[in-house]
Amino acid sequence: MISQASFLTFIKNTQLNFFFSFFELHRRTVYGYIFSIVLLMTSFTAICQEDEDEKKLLVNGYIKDMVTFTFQEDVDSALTENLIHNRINFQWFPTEKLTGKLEIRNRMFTGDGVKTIPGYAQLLDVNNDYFDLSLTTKGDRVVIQSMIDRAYLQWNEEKWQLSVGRQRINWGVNLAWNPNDIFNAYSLLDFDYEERPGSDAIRYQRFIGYAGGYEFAVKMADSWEELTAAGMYKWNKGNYDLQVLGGVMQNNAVLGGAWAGNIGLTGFKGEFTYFNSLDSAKGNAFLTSITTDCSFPNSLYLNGSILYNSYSKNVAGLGFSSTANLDVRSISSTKWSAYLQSSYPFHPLLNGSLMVLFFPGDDGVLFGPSLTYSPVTNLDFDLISQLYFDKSQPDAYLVYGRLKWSF
Amino acid sequence: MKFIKLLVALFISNVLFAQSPFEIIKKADEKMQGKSNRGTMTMTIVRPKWTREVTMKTWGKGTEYSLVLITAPARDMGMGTLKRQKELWNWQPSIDRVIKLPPSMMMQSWMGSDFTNDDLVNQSAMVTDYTYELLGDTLIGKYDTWKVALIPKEETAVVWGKIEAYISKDDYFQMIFKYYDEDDYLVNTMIMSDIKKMGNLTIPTKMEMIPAENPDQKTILTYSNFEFDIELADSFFSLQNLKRLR
Repeated sequence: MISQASFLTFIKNTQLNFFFSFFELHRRTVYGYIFSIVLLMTSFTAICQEDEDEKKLLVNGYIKDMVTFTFQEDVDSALTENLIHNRINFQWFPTEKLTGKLEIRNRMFTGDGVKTIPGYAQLLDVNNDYFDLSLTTKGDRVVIQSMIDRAYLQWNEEKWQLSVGRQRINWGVNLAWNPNDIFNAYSLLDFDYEERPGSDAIRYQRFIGYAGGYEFAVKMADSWEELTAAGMYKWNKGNYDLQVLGGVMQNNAVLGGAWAGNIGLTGFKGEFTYFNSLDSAKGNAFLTSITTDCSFPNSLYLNGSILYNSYSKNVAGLGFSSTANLDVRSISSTKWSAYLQSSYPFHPLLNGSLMVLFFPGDDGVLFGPSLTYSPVTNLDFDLISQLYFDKSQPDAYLVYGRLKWSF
Repeated sequence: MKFIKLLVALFISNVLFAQSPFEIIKKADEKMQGKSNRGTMTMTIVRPKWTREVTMKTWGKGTEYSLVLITAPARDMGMGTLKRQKELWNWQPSIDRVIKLPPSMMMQSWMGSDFTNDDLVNQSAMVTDYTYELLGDTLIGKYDTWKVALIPKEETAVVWGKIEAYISKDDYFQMIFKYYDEDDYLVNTMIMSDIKKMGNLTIPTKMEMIPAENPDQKTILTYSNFEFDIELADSFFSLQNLKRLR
């Protein structure tokens, strides 16, 4: 087993190497300069940071290295890719009531994908936000992308709060699929982006009681057709968290609701959203998802969800290529989807889980077994796989090995 | 004469009352929790080949309300749990999301330790969820103690078949808790020590949970900077505070 000290040295070196190659590629840009300084600064401050109350500035984050092997049915060789991924979160507390957050995601891609897929950099540089806060640079064998996915100020009063800037507006209460997540939906399979994208938006929240209140949010847009703006009312009754929402999302009138509670010892959650298209050439949509979850005294955890998506065109195959900032109506490519997940700690430091995703009425199925092992504090090693089986197209097997150091 | 009779009756009832096993447990519990509390707790998971430490800030009020926020290690920093009566929520700052947890989660091990979620956020249920029987007196170290059996009431979701509690006669310190399963086998032993004054209370500040099957492993919970009987409104235990506290 490696000692923590030697590992720290390794991480420092990795971060420094990362910094230097990053600097090489970005040195001609002002952004690159700023990013490099921030990177270098945090490489040291983050590791030297002490745990102290009431700090004005908190810095944390992680650095990950992930190797991906892609195998395809009837193809002899595997594609190998490597991704070094660094995230730095700054939390700023200038006064008791004002909070600022800035979060930066830096990724360096190398391997077969970069070398063989034309336009790899363009594929990555999908930006659905109002401001373009990302920077993608392509070398011969490397693509580097830096992106600010949170940058907002928040004013906190006891009964209300106001947030302005790039933030995540997460209205979902369900597990697996969130039809209520109209501001920034995400792909269920994009496990390497747990923070998920943000939106350039203004959000006002008013709190009533301990789990209730109302809120309004507007996502910036150039035109009425692009605008997403909605309000939500939340309350708690009979041990259930309840919510209703209404507004517009990209030229659709939207009405939705959700609940989160339990039946006996088992969790019971659900969400539904109706999209009434304001453009007569486009169709309406209804999405709903229901989840039940339960854990046992031996720590085995089970969770099952179904999703109905009337908007989906029932495309053959699994079609999960897009992991960018999705429109919530495109969270599935089939009308019906079902999801089962189980997880079990084999050992306090070793956790196993199995995900099965299938599509009633379709031939595709996805198995996602994974293992997480934590050899030392703040270090995780993950072995994750996504095995796609489909009668209508060749099977594909993706295996990921990922090392993550949190600081 | 009537007055003296009344005094005697009052005296006798008082003596009986003070020694009723329920009253012993209730006093011991109040002594440990106060009416409300706030402080820092460190949990150390000890195994023969490795140890892990988690530090958290906690707020509690009576048996109903509790809020726990993890401050270290970096990997889990900022994660929080809110409990209000029978409801339980989890806050994950990295994904900006509050998740309502099913009640069955209460019996699960907390972060791989020898404590369950229930042990951590619901300790005071020992006043509400059990019936009590005084088993006798025992000497533990220099402390003369009562030995009380706690038998779960039928309608409660308690995982134990029985708990034996050893409470010191002088100051109602909780000394040892033995947890038995439904077949009367010893599962866990909790030993409390390091009695210190913290805030306005004198309490054991170290608890060790030792599983009977694996005596070479344990989980240690250490209290520090605790304050008791502070002003904490019920409304403090809210989802907005779960997200905001740091």
